[in-house]
Amino acid sequence: MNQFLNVTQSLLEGFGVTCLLFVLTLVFSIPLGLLISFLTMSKIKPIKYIFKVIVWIVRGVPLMLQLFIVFYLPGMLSETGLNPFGQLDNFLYFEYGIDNGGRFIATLIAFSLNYACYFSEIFRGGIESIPKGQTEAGKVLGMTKGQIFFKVILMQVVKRIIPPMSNEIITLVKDTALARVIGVIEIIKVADMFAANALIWPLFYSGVFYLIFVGVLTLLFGFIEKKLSYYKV
Amino acid sequence: MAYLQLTNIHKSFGNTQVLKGVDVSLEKGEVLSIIGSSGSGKTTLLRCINFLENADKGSMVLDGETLFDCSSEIKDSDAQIREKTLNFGLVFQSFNLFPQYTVFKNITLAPTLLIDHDAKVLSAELKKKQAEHKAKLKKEGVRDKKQVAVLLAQQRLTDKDIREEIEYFKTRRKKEIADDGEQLLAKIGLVEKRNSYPCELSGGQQQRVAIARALAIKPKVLCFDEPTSALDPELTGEVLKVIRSLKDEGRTMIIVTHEMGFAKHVSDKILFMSDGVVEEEGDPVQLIENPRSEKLKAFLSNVSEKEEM
Repeated sequence: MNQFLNVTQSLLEGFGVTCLLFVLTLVFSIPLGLLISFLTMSKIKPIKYIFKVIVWIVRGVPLMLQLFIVFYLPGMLSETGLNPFGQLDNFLYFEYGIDNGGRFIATLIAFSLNYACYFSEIFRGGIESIPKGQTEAGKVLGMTKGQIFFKVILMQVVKRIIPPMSNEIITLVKDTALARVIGVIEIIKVADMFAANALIWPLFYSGVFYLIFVGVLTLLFGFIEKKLSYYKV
Repeated sequence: MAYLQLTNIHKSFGNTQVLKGVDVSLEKGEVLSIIGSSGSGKTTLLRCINFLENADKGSMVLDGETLFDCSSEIKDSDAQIREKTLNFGLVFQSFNLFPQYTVFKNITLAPTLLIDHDAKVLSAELKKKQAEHKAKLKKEGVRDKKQVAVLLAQQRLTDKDIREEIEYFKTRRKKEIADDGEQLLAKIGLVEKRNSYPCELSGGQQQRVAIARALAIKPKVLCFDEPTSALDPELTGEVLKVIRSLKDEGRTMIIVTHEMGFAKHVSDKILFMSDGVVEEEGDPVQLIENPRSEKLKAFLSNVSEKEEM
């Protein structure tokens, strides 16, 4: 029993890192994704194609590899050869007592960029699926472009993209486990450390945390969908 | 010059010339119907009038104000175009109501969004007055800060007065818009649908709401782009009734339509377009009963055949 509580507590600590990574990735990737979606729809051809290529690269390379690239490349390119994220690790540890802060930030950057690119395609699809008549109705009523987007288009897009977004967001919950490859101590990493000491079951037990989290998210998305069911697009 | 005057309008999409020099003139309070087969350019003409398309050539004057003149070098800013757009209301074939808003909000949204803009204009005006008054006081040699404040307050031009004035303006406008909204609901006979969403309405009801929404910005000219084409036949009557009541109010309207009977009765003037030009125009009864051009004859017999089928 004591061991179970011990393991649960350690896993919860790891799960805290998982949740933090999840929430912060969403906070950064959703606005960034919206921006990228606008840029890939830009009327200025060079901008449009540059960002289409970026989306292609980010979606085309494994997220794990992107983690390595974000974490190691800046150090390799710097004159001193020191890894800035490693230095940040030390700085945050000595100044604030935070473990692995630099690695965490590297992960956050890679995740945010990666998910922003996926989201941007969902947003683009959503925005382009709204009939042109909606924009035209706004125009003839004298609305500005901003008003048309925020007051007319956005809520319709939100309704349309909730199913694909919930899919992507649930995938993100589980993708956070990749952070361990550059040494972020999230829940699987914690469980793995038990496994290294011949205690295997925490590894399976960690799955329960993901299941509960995804269950809560599923309920949340169901609730939002229901909330928005008062109108049809 | 007529109230609304379009002169020599040209419009091409790529290599296809859709409008090849169209002239339209309309007096205040008149109703003009535009008929013609699909592809004749009538919808494009309406879209040019509503600034949804930019004409390549030609000009438009409304009530003495030039709204666009393609021969002029000066290009209007987005804000100027938005302001000019407000001279016209447009009712679409496919309604294009905002699905996420109630009937009432659909009607009041656009005027409500204009409040902030108008408030900014008013605020700028008052600030300018304030600055002028301050300069005047300075010239008169009033240096004492307290005295300046008192004199400004007498003119209701202190910062606080201006803020209050703007607040008052906003509240008043909101109330006016809400009152207008109620009146428009009554006009289209949908008071009981005030809080319904567009998806809960029939096509005819949706189109009536779209008419109210277009009227809410108080346009000088109301345009209809085949307002009944997307409706089931039994629902066209209620929409046409609303349009007829608007004519009785003396509204200036342009209606692109396939409803020949309606066009004949409601219009003061009919314009028959074919292949990007005005083929024939004139008095509705005369034009429909005694068409002169071969094209119009063919068009009318085609339409009546379809109606008989």
